[in-house]
Amino acid sequence: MESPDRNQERLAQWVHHALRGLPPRNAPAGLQSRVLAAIARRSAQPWWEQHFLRWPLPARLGFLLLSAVIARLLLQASGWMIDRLRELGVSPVVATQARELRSDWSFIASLNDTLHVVLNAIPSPWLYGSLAVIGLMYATLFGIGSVAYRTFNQERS
Amino acid sequence: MRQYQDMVYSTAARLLGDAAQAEDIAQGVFLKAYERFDELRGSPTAAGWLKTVATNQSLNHLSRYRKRWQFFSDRRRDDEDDGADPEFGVPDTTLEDLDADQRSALIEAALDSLPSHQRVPLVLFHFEDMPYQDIAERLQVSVGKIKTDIHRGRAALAQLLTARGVVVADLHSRSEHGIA
Repeated sequence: MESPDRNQERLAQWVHHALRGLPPRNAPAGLQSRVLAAIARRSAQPWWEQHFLRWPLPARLGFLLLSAVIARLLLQASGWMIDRLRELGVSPVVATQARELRSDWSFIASLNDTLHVVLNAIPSPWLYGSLAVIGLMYATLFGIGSVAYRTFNQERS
Repeated sequence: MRQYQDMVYSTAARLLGDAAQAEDIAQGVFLKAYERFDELRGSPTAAGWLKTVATNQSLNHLSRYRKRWQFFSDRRRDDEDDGADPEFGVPDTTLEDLDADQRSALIEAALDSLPSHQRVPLVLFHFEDMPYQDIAERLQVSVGKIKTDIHRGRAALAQLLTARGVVVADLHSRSEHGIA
């Protein structure tokens, strides 16, 4: 009787020869026409529906410029909104953070501090309760999805 | 494209174990190649590039769509075969009435029926010549698990083929003579 190692070695050799001896699988007859149709569809698309890297250079630069302007406007709008909130009597700490956010380019640090202030202003039971509800909803959806996958997909395979 | 379509499709089909998904991947590979048509036209590395892209896209597809379900599906299979190594015995009888096409079809079908955690490392090892370490890094599992999965995959393949009438000893002796 052969040793287990020798048997495994023979098995490995056999599998290697058997697999490497296989001819390539024949691609489906429709593959080429599918690819050509996809290329034709892609070529027919206007440039703004194509991948960003395939946009004309002026369009790409214009898009980036426009994005920067919109980001700046959004920041200004949020500053204006916080000022209005201050006028309505909301915490002066929030107003101070908002002023920093507007006047200083260190947006991220200011934003972080503002978030801390806002989070501290929310009562803990509300905060933890909301997080628990979100977690529960996620777990429920994940569970339903996994049961559906096991029921429909694995049974089919 | 006609020259490489079987190679690209085979690479994807063997990794994915699914003809429809393999066709989608092959289409994606050729669309990517079309974007680099000027670079690839006449290049001696075109075949290697296509094979690498097909392999990477297939593995990305597997990890993207199956990773989140592994906890509920493949993990269960792992638990089921965590016991002793499967017995593998080389049958001492031969079956002569199978021609090469029939044998190839049976082997391909058996390969497709393996669970992905065995089929994928087996294909990467035997078809792509990837070493254990590279497979482990690519699949983000330990080298030990890769070795175990490949060993069990081989044994399962042999068992499936024996059950379907392809005799391992027969193929082994044929392959040594360059027939299989």
